[in-house]
Amino acid sequence: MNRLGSGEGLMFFAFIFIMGILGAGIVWGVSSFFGSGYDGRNVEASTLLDSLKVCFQEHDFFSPGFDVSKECGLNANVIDDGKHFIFVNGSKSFIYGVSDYINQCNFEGAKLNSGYPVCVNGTFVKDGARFDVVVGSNQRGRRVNYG
Amino acid sequence: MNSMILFAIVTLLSYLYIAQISNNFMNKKGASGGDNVLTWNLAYIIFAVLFAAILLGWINGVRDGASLWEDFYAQEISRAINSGLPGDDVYIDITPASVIGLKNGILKSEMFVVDNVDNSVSVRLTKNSGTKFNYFNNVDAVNWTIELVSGSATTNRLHFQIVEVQK
Repeated sequence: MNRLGSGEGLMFFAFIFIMGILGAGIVWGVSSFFGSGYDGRNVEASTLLDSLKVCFQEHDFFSPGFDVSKECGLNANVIDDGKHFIFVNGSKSFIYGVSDYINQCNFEGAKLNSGYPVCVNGTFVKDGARFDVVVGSNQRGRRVNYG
Repeated sequence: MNSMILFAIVTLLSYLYIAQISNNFMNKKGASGGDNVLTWNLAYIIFAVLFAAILLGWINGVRDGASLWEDFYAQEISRAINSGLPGDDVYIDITPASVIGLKNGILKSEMFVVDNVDNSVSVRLTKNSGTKFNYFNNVDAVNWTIELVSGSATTNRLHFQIVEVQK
């Protein structure tokens, strides 16, 4: 009784392993050559900062119940999607969105890691008082399947 | 789509593996010691062909830059809307995207879609997928059309108008 077989099946997992290594190498090589997507988070944060700059001059951010999305013409669903952050700091402070972004944006090495949000800094002056502003964004293009 | 292909591969390989084990137990012929060489070779060949097909399909998708252009235009159009004011007319050169989209059989009306309800821009240049990006400016973008640039038959541009929120 020959129950050992011809041994063809023994190489099955080795075959898959080699294919995996080959595939990973090709994917890595192609990705390195063509680059990794388009990152417009910095631009989005800058645009939001510009919008807020105008709004800040016209409204009192520090009044109780101030609704930044309503008063500044921003879509509440987008600004509240957990990927945006607004922080105004001076004699008073105003914070909106994901408050932890203030930490994440200032971590050493965060700029080298695309998983962290991108923040831009600015300065507002109103009634002679200076306010530092940080606006952050971590929104990326989302893949949508139609198949 | 890719997950369905992967599922089909795993199912096929599982079937072949189980068939092989069953064959070993049966061991009726004994000529090849209960190990059907043909079955294994078939499994290897099918797996290799499907693996190569998926990989080549992916490389082809990356090579024509569809996903990159989708990402780029979804974000740039959102940026234009974010910076816009009601009454603005916006023109954006979308030639690279329209070339890829038309090549892949996407209708002009499906390539760039704005949803003023959830404030998003969708760009679709392949049959199976697209890219979506939200704009935060509380305005509506209406009258989207893709048109030829005046004086040139080889470039296309996207034209839309920004208006007050209508919803």
